[in-house]
Amino acid sequence: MSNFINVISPLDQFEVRNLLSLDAPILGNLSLSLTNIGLYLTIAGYLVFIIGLLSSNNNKIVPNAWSISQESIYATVHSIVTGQINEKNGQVYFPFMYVLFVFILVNNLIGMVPYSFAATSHFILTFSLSFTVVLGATILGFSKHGLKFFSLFVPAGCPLALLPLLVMIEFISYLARNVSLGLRLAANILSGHMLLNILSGFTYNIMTSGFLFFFLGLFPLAFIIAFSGLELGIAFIQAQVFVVLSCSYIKDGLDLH
Amino acid sequence: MIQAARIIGTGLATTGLIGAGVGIGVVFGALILGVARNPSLRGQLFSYAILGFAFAEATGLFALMMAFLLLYVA
Amino acid sequence: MVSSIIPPKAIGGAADAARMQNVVGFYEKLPRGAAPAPKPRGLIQWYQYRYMGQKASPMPIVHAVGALIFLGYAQNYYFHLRHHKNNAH
Repeated sequence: MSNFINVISPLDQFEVRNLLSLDAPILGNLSLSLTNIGLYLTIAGYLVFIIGLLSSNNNKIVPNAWSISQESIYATVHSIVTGQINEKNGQVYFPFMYVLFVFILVNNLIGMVPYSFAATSHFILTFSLSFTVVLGATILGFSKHGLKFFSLFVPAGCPLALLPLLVMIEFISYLARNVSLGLRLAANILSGHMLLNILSGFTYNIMTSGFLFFFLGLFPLAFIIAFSGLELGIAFIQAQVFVVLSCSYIKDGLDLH
Repeated sequence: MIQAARIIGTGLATTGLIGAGVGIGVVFGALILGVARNPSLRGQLFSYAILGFAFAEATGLFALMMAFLLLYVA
Repeated sequence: MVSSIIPPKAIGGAADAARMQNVVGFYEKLPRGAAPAPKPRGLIQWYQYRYMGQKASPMPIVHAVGALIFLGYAQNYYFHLRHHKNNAH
């Protein structure tokens, strides 16, 4: 195994590399670096900001296509938030959900561009988002209901004998929410990109093997293209599922059922 | 030896995707039946179906994630 | 005869007329006609006027994707493709 120094694994596309780094032996071995994930997150932020500023169509009331796209994203997230949490009081959580949706969507879509880097495929990023959301919902529940928050773990109409077992199961499933929310997003994006990488490697080998094999290799190539379309759909769907579930967890914290 | 065991473990872990396939089939089968009973498709059923597809896919991908972890990381 | 009762000079006649004169005076001082089309000044406003104004086209998305492909190819070349110039793995 040590003879193979150049083993190319499909995980290489996700490697975090230092683009510009500063290492100095001051302040306890200072090491600051701009990594590629930092660069792509910054690019995503600037892209969202600039598109939001430039789509205003000079503040005309009649929208052009760009204004309509911004308004439709706003309306989608607004309907999710007010549908899940509360019709009248749920709008307080709308800015947070909008930022979450646009952040995840834009980072997923930037990852779909060829030669680019998918920032949401890193578990640390999605786990920080999901742990933040579920911890925030728990703190919200405690601050609103005090110790009655634990009634969340008792399902309605449950026989008394089963109660300890059921409460433990509900508690563990509540703890699993932190992990499952972030894991779902990262696993989808990671596995999609890795599958595309592996299949493309094989198809490249097929198509460069000879004249006949070039045409035979068009079938797996068509499958890869179709799978890329599915990945594009997954980028949208996973952003929406993350926001729907976050709203549902906030509702559980607020309403306790 | 460890490498062979790793590869075998990866192959065994990908059998979790059977569940994903069955789950997605069930979700969309239910969507077809629901729309056949009451064609209010553009209302709610399709968005619920996409939500259900995401959950079923996610569970299958947890298994695929374990497979990739075994193959390349462990 | 009719012009003495139409328009109706009812109870609060003088105060209403004064308020109406405020409103009419405000609108008289505003400019009339269509709003002047804003001329773009500066690079960003030129870009907005060219691609995201009345002729709204999806070209900015194509530009963004092209810039990302260029940036990504440059990074991949520096870190990975440089070492594969004559051998493919």
